[in-house]
Amino acid sequence: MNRYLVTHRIKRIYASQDDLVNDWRGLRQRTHAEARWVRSWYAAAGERLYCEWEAQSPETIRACFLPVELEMAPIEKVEDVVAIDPAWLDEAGSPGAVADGGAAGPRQAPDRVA
Amino acid sequence: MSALFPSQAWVEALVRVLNNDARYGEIARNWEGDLLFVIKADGGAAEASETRPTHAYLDLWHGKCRSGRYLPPGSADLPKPAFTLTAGFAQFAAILGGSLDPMQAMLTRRLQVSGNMAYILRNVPVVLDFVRCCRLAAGAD
Repeated sequence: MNRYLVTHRIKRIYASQDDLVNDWRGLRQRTHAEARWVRSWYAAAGERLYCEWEAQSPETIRACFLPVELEMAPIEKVEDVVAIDPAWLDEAGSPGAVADGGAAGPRQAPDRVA
Repeated sequence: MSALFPSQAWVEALVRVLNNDARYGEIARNWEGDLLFVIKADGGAAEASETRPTHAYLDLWHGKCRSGRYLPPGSADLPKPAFTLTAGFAQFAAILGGSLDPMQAMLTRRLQVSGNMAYILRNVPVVLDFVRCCRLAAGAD
């Protein structure tokens, strides 16, 4: 499965809470094992919705949407992405984790030369 | 600053916060729309139906709160605002306490929104900063 970042431009939003929630629930129910909606970030100022998907292909993602949904929030682009967790950098910086892969245990401080 | 939610003291504290908070004033500078909280009694359906809700009204306009009123159960002549937020006391308390995300509350209908949802979503930063101010008034932050 590949990971994708899907950028939607928000052209129109439902005026009622019920319509909005029902539509989004419908989309969630239309997702499946080959197109999983992972999470979304909504940028109100830029009127964009950024959605992370795990899917076989961009086509399997597009197939989850109803035409009215793509009219209200058209897909601007679908990018193949890779996730990076900043916490990995903490691990990489820990003693003994870089040069020797951590196998030698914590690196010893160099002997002090007085 | 700390006041029990919901109460007259909390509404007064919130009005003070909204009118003195520079961050809210900037973020909400274009906001136009008054707001009514409808705080329903918790408990089972029978209990809830027998207990009338408490209301709090806030007239929010361009980064300021022009007026605020606490309306105890049974109050007559409730205002007809642009937006009404309805939930049980426990849900409001969870939002004010920070254990329930306001966006999650709206998308799960734990917080029922009456009014133009599109306006609310296009102004999400205002909504979130308003919640921050509500928390300040309640002494949660």
